[in-house]
Amino acid sequence: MKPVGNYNKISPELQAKIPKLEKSVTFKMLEGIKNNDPDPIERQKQPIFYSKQNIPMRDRIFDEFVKDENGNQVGAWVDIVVADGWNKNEPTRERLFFPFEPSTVFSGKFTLNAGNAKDAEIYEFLMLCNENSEAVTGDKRDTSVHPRFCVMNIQKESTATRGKIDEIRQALTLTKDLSYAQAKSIANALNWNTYTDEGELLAKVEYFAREKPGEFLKVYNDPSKEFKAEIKEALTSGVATFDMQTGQFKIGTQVITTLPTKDRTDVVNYMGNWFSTAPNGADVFALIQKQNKDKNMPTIAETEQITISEADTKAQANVLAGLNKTVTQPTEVLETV
Amino acid sequence: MAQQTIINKQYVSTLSNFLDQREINKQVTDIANDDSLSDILTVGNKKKPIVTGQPFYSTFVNESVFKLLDTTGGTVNGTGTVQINFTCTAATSGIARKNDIILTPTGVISGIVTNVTTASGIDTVFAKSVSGANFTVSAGQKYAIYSVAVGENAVNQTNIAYGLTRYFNKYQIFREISIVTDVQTAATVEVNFNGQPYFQVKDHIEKQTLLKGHINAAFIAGDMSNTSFSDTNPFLVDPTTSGTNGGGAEQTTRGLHKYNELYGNTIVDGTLGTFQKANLDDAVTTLLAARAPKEQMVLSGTLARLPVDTYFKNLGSSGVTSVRMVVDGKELNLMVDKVTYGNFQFNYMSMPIMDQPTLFQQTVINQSLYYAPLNGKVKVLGGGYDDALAVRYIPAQTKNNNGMIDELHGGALAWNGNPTYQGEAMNATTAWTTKQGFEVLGAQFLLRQQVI
Repeated sequence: MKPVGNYNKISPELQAKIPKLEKSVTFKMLEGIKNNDPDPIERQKQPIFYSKQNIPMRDRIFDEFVKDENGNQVGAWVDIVVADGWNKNEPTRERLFFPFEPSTVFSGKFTLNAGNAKDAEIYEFLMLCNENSEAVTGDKRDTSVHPRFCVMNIQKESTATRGKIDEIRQALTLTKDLSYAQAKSIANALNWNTYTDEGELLAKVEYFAREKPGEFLKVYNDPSKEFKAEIKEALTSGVATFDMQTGQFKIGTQVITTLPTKDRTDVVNYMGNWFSTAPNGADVFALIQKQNKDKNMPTIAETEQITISEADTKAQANVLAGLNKTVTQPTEVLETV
Repeated sequence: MAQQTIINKQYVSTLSNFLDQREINKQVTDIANDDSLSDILTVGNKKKPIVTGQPFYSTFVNESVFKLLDTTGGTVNGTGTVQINFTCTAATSGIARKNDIILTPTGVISGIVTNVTTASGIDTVFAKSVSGANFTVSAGQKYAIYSVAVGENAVNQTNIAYGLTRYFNKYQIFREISIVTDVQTAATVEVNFNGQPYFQVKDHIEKQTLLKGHINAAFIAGDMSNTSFSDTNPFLVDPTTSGTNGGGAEQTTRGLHKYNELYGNTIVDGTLGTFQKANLDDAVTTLLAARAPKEQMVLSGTLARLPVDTYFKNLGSSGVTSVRMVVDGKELNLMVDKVTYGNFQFNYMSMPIMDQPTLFQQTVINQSLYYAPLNGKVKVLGGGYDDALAVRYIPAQTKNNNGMIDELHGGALAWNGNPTYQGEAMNATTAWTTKQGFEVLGAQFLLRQQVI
């Protein structure tokens, strides 16, 4: 960019930090919106929408290498502009740069070529401006500006792709020897309906591992997975009940805790965390675990006629008696419905 | 007890708390000023509601039959000769065919396509200069396919099928509720609402404003939900339940802003806070590239409108200097409502909802001008025109309604005397619900220009 008047007066040091434009450089947009069209054919046409927005060719950047009159490096804010014309050292019109071609699907990537004066000028600007998350100003980039793009690093992208493939491989390897009990535990932790036959459930978990390996590995390695699985099973079998309206999680008639409104759609996760943090959580959980074991996955019809043995009732009474003192745990303020 | 005294103010005011009447202006001042939120669909003096039946609705758009070959990021060989070959971007591959005539920008040289090969979705196009003039080409250039030529006794060239793209949106169920007890239904208050001294009247006025405001705001800022009513495992679930009712999947509708962000165009001016001729030029350039209709409405709030008026009226920072200003008596009209420029006609329209200081204040919505085709100016393939902005709605389904909004009456004191629920409760319960969604035809015509 040619310095004109007070514009584009960046220091030689900062200028030197801009990598030379050799052949071509591809940038990628950082944010897109997933196409949530229910029709897979429409989604395939454009899986991600990237905003068809210009990149303003005017910015104010901090050049840390600017020196004062005594030659001391003090840094200064510098206005940078790519303009189509100048009048008395003022830009008459900033260039209107869209990183896509009208009437085409914008893939979120755009390329600038060497040997092209316009591209070279835009390239320099993009390497300096604050909308570039990896601008050459480094930690002096104005963080109040939302980053929109960066230079595409092919090597980095390849590593990320390889990482994803590794993830898929790892997930599929784990599913190879998955037992029904493990599959059920994962399904319960994911709050799935587990009233399916063994083969169907295993297939469902395997499909999940293939489609969403990251999420599968997260659940598989989740230390609170067993908690969540037991809770789901307790809810399914009727050992525990949850009332969406009041937010009350109960064993029998005893309220264990009341969930805040915002967490009521995710009772399994919330209670999973509750059992691991509440003072009497471990005792209550042991009780649920025991009752779950005794029920051994009843049918839906059976869950409506659950009876709790005398010994269990006694054990439950003991645990709940202790719990009464701390039943308001955890610390969230209970909300009214 | 009788006393020997004169009746003065002190005597009366201490006699009883209820004896001395309070002096109150019975009119309640409306400082919220929320009821002026204009209906987005009546902007342009027209409202277009379309009856719909399904929870989501679609509109199809065609594509241009004229195409551009983009060499950005590709290779271009043969410059300085009469034969070239070049690779196209993935987005512009699958278009060129033998016999097409392309136009290269330098020297406006025409070339006839002699071959097209495709590898990994990228076309390599081979072309010969039709006149024998050398091509001057480089990567980054874009070549229009502007014509076609075949030889004597020709056979058919490769066929091209032009597609349709579907845009879709979902309707949203809006709902509001008013519950007033038997005691407060009967009790009067010292101020009047619509001439009536009942708090219930105030509540109904406010709930009407709230319902209308929620609909209008959703039509501007709404984002379409991933969840549909038909989802078997919906992500968005109504957290409010009553017995076996409630708890259903929730849908939200996409508004003007998100339509623009997904399908339309956006210009963020380099110098925010002022509006210059260059910014107007940018808008024209972008609308032209989007093949937008020439008659446009430009919707905005007051703050985004200020720099536009300042520019058109040539208002200086220290006073009015415009020689173009029309002075009518002692009043100066500092607003410009209609501008014709670059073959476009811009009709500036204010949206009071964008002046509301809480709704969109924190976002770019209040800082932008929204360009949309004027009503009835969007062409329909095969003939005819339609509106760009419309509302889809499910006709009201209850007995008491205004066509679009259902009114439900409950409680023993139900307004219509026929409560449909909770008839034993001594209150007047009124609920309003409506199913409406926003729709834009030709959303790729939309333009948002951030000016402040």
